[in-house]
Amino acid sequence: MSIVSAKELSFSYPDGRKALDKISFDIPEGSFVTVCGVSGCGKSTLLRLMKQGLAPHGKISGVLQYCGTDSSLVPLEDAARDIGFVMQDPESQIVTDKVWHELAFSLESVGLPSDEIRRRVGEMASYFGLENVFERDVASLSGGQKQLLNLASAAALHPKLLLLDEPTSQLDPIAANSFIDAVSRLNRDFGVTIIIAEHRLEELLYISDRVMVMEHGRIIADCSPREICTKLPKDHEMMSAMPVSVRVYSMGGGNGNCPLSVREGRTDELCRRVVEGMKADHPLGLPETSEVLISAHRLWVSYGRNTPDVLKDTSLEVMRGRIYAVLGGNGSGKTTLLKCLAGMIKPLSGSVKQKKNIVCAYLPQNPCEIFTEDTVKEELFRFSGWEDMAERFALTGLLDSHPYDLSGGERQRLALAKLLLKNPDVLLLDEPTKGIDACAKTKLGGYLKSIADSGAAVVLVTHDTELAAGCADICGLLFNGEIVSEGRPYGFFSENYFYTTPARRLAKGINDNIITLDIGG
Amino acid sequence: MRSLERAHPLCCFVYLAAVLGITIFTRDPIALAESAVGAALLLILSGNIRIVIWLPVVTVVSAVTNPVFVHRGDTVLFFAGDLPVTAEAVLYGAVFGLMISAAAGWSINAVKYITTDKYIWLFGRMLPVSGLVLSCGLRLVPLFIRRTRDFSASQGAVGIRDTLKAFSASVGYSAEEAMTSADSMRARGYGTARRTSYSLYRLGGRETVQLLAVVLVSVSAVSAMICGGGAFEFYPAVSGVGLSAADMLLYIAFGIMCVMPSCVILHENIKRSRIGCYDQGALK
Repeated sequence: MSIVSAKELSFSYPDGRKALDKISFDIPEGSFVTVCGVSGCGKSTLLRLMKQGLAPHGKISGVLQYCGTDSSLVPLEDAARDIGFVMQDPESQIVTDKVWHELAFSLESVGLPSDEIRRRVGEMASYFGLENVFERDVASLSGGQKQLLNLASAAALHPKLLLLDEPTSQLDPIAANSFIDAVSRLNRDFGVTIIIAEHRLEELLYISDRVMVMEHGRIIADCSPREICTKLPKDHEMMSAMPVSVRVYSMGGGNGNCPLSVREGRTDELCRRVVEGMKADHPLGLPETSEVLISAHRLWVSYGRNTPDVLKDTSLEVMRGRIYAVLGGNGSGKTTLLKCLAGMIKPLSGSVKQKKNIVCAYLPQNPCEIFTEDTVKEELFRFSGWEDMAERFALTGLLDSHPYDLSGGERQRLALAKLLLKNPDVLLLDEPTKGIDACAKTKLGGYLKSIADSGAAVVLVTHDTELAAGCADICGLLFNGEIVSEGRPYGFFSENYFYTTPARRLAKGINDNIITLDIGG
Repeated sequence: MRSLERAHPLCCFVYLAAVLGITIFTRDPIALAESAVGAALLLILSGNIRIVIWLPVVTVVSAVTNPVFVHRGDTVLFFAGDLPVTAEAVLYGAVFGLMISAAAGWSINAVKYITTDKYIWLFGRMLPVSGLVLSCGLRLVPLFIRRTRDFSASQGAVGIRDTLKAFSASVGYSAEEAMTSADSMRARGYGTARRTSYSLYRLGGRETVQLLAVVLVSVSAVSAMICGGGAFEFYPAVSGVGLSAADMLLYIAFGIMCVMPSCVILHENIKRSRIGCYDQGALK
């Protein structure tokens, strides 16, 4: 039986922008559907239209049905109970101050009696592994825990359909994987229908029954993930978002059941052949030294008397024209290190020496933190040469928009443009790939390279091994407050076993020269 | 210690209202001494030892300063210039200081043991939405402060040293986020049905007994006061401690009341340390 179906569904916003263009599909109950596409392709709009109460205003035509009733006619109360919705930002979805209260929120809203709430809240907390934080303040949770809490709170109503709009885009890879695991368990154990829109497909595609690829409001591929290579052209821009095995399979012109996981890719004959045939030369040894702009020497940093030290004896040199990528898990001190380099935090001991008269620019995790004006143009126009900069970062069409109305990738570009207008000698970036799609990520790598080529130093801290492998000159692994290994991307990623790129995991032992598919591949 | 933290909100509120009310309204030195000792004991048992030092300091300061302003009373100790310093004024100052320090002590204890979820229970009981509003506020205010600080730090790093700009950007960003929160509330059925209010606290047999005990001692103490217990006079001359039935009832009931929470903690500490003994025994 189908739970959601659409026929010739079109939707346009009041400003005339067409978001959906005659799409048709039919989703059977119990499916796990992944919707993907570049930012602005209409996947969020589609998901929101399915949920009564969140549907955007605009002109709708065609049919969208939930369980055989027109979606806009489903009573609000039924929609609240049966359709769960989890959004992108873990923080702003949370309403109350305590974990237990957040779990109970939806149950209180639909007016369940106290005893029933007590049972369900207990059940949810133990199912999602939230017992240890049950009585804690929400503010004390990590991003991953917050998002898990949002999922648990939606699941407490026992929904039949769960809609997830880029739920892992703000999470680090490990938290993202455990979130996806929890979603897939809900699907497997209870038959909850899952429709998830997501940029990060590496682990997701393997567990989906079906994938829908959207472009400009249309569905350009709607098939089982295994058939994706036959449905999606080899050089389509969405290919760069696909799991590494799919990309390699497609590069070899594969035209059948494509491998989805690294394991399948390593045993697939076509993939092996393609990987063996790849050539890449990597510069070995550390790059030659250039002018040192910032030198951090034996830093110790702590945030309080009773808290553990965040950085322990970390040293790092920032050199002109080089991109330094600091990788490391959550809480390893990456952001702290960056803030020390920017001079925002004073270390307990050790020193940060900035060369005289250099300009340092810092891009925070949330680019919105550096926006102060009401339009994109006002953010930029005070500086000479802003028009060229706007063009370089493809912002010309967005000049009158409010910075907060931009997509993740666009915000990132605006922030970069704003920072580069000051001609910084050092550019420091905190998790620049957070919340942006694969295409934006590839472009970001290009921008960073051109910035370094023009003589500035770039330091980025990131979870994203692919970005680091693609653009960095030096990579350093920060663990437990110190840099435990450092080297050129090739040496770095080929020596690391777990902390490495998917491409390296696929190619290991088959072609040891490969660490990434984009650069030198 | 934990049983006090997990005590039922109703029990906590009745207790706090009674103990603070009596402390503030009585001028009887013995009742106030009981109150101050009870508050200090609970502070010590809760680990707030440093604050306890301030209680006698406040009392002494008040005893010293009151005669500077008040010159009533029959017993003149000495003359400062041509103004009399009287024993009654000193005593009144001391008792007043005792009242202030006892009330402050109980309030500090209340902050520790009457946590926000107990307030939410209380307000949620009266009007489910008010409990929710309180809970939202308790999340949003610290979040906003943290965010403004982050905005200000990040803008400082790019050379914008204008706190007002950071503040207004933070307000704007929070408003954006509030729209997501509103969506999230709607997605989870807010406003679709009559709201219920859930709380972790349950009023079971044990809680009823505790509540009855609290009500019993509070009612005895308050009625003793109404019947004239603890009517202590300072001016023109100190009336002396009364020994009537009402006075005795007040001292006993209020005395029990003031040490109740400390007894709960002590009792539990003893029980817990016994568990420790058993464990060590088992290890041998």
